[in-house]
Amino acid sequence: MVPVEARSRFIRDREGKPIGILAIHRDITARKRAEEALKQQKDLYEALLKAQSDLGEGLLITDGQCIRFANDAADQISGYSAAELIALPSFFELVVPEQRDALIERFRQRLSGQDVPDHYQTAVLHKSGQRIAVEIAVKLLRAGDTTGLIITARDITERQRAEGALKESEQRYRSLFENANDAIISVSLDGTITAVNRGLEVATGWSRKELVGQHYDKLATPRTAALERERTRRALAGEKLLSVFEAEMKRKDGGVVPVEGKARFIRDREGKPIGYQTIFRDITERKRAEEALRESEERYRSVITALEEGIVLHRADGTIQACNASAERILGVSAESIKGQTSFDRQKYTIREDGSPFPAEEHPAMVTLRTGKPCSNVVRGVYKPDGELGWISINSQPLFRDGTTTPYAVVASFADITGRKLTEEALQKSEQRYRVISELVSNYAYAARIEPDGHYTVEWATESFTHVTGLTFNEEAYRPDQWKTFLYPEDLPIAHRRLRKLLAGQADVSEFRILTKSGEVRWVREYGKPVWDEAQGRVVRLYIAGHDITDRKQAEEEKQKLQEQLFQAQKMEALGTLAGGVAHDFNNILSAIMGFTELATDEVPESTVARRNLEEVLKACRRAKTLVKQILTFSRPHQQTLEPIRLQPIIEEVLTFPRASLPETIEVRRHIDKTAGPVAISPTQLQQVLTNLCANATQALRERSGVLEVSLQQIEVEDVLARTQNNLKPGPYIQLTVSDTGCGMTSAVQERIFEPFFTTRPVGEGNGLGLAIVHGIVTGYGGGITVESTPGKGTTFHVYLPVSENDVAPENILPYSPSPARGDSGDEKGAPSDTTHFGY
Amino acid sequence: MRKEHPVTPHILVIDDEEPVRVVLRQMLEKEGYEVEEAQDGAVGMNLLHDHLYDLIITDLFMPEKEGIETMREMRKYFPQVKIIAMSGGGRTGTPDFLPMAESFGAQRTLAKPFERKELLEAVRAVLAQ
Repeated sequence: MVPVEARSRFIRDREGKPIGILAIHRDITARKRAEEALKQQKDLYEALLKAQSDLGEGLLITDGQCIRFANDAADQISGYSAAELIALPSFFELVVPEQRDALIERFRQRLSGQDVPDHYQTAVLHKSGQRIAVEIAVKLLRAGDTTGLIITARDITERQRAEGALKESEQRYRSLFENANDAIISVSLDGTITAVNRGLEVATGWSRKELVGQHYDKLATPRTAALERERTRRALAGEKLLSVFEAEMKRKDGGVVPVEGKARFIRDREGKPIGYQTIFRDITERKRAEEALRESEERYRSVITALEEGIVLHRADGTIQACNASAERILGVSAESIKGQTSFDRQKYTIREDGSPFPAEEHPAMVTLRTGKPCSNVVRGVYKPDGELGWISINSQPLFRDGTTTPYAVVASFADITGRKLTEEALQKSEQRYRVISELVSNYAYAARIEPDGHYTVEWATESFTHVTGLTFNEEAYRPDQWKTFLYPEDLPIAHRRLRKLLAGQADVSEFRILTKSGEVRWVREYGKPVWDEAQGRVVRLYIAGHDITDRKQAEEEKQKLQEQLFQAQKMEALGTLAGGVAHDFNNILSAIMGFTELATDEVPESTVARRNLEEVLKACRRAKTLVKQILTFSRPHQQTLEPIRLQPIIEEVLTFPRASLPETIEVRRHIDKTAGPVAISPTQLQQVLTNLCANATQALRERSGVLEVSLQQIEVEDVLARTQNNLKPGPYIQLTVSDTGCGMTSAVQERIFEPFFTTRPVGEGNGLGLAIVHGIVTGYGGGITVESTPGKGTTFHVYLPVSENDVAPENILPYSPSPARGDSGDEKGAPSDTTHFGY
Repeated sequence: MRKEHPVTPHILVIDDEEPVRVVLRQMLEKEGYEVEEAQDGAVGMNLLHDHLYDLIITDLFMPEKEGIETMREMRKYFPQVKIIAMSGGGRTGTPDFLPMAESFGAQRTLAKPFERKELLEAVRAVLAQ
């Protein structure tokens, strides 16, 4: 068989109609053999290429510009399938447009045998339009008379990127290196300076040129040089050193700069150190600050040490970090022994003021740690190791870092108040004693605080204060004028004077009357001591001790009264003596005058002037007689024993007559108690008493209308009344009251109303003896008389006469008709017979 | 020898004040009485020894012999004698002894100054006893 290439075509006539076939056969045996060889080669190559394509390189084989073969990697890189690649008219289609022309030119040159680069980089235009950076290797291929290329391409996008990143990084690094303020120096292992940056130049004053290639000793102080050597040695030996160290750099000008250095090894590809790089920072400022801090710390330390107060520092977890010497002293422990302990560890040694245990969580340091708030003046008892109990007053302060709200530590400072506490306790005991004592006596004491606005606040008062005043003290603040309500009005001037003195800072003792809560008037004697506050320039507190001297005052008053009474009695007695002495002679003289006048009237005819005149003389004599009698009456100290009589009828009788002489404008009222007991008194004298009193009342009512009231009742005179009113002995008394609603009298008049010859009436009217006589009679019978009066309102007289123990004598029970007794006349008509009748 | 005066009463007045004696004499004589005077108790006693008087009016407080004294003495010697005692009050202001006078024997008392009426009435009353 012979392989032939047959070519046949139709033979066509003029119409184009096929009329025959022309066949040409060529003997292609040789060609067929060459093709076979070529195919074998191709297969071989393909196999090789296929194997190569597993390496990731794209492979193209071209015949001229046309791609005849592409491996899988080429597909990936280009984004075209192998079929598409082969279909491309030219592989230059794959090249990015901007490089095409250049590469086409290069291709032509290659084909023409010129020497052009085999390896170069370019970019592939991916089917998607993306540009893929590739590295190309080109080999010219001649097979027979075909010339093609074997192109291998490697995607170097990543590589480029990495290279770019690396370059960038290197750039940055270089820039940093150059521009860092810090001084950076690179040194080889033997100490030769391999690189320095600008910072180093600036820091040391050396220039790059002067340093690179030199040994670093040029830059280092001997100490630093030694340190460096040591460090290098140890680091190379494998020791892990702190990368940061302090050193000193030598400047060109000889100055020394304190620096902080940070070093790291420069390693080769195997990781072996070939040198090291150190960054130095100028720490002059920092050193200065450190020094200052150290100094300051020193100062604080010495202050804290010197403090009397104990200081304990607690960490945030409560453990004790540190304490000062005073803390050791006060707590009786060594710093070492308590460091690391917490308040919980120390809890068993602590007690509260009342002796109960003090739980650790309530210790001020713990509280402050929890709450972040300071505590102050917390008193705590602490048992020292030797068993002694001490007292401390603790303040705790939190320490915060900027911006935080939880403390990172607490400072507890405390002062030893054991001494103070003991004193306090002693004082308290002492105060207790005094308080008890003061409660036992009738003294009272109180302290008043004076506020800046002048208000008074009672801070404390003993119980007896309440006993005396009836006031319970509360803590209300009183205005100064409110205090007045507790004072007896008449004594306000005393109180004012006292207060002025006290507020001026002087102690004062005063006696004055107060009004108790129940309205009682009591005398007190108060000692006041003011407390002056220098800072405020005023008295801030008053301490008052006082006691109730009412009894004493009353006794004094009584004594005074008694003395007065005695004096009065003595006066009266003297007067009586005088009167008595005069009376006798006076009466004799009167007897003569009257007698002779009477005899004379016999000689003178009636209705003559002389006769009338003589009658006048007689009238005058009668009045003179009465006067003397009155004088004698009240000066008579003794009465003889009388029989008891009932007063009621006598009173009735007396009241009947004055009625007739009273103007109608005066109303007479009577309240006579029929059961009032008998009194041993002469009826005449009772008459006189009542008559005089009524006369007085009549006089008072003269100018106006009003009421005259007479009442009789029996009362029991109690001790107090007896003592203070006219020395009456306790017992049953009749109280005869005569009151009027007349003009009344002032207290000045009241005091003198019973004085003989004292009268408020104009001259010629009345002799001022009426009430003196009443007084004399009444007191002579062991009774008393009192007067109450208000000017403009009226007057009341109370006559007290002791009720007789004996019963009234039967014959005296009969009603009795006295002769008319008028005002102050004391007329004796019929009196002698009466007196004899009644045993007088 | 004691004389009796059966018809006209004889009165003895004892007082140390002359005007008083004169007044009394005149008053009594006008009434028709016979009056003798004595200026004190001693004199009075003497007179009494010689005469028997129907009535003695004596002051109580006199020097030399007090009226009370006199009265007692009189009573002692002349129990039946009638006495009126008078007084103007004690010289020394001592209480009026008029009440006491009665217990010493005076039938009546007169307080000076007394009016004629009083005097005469008292005299009449005592003489009538």
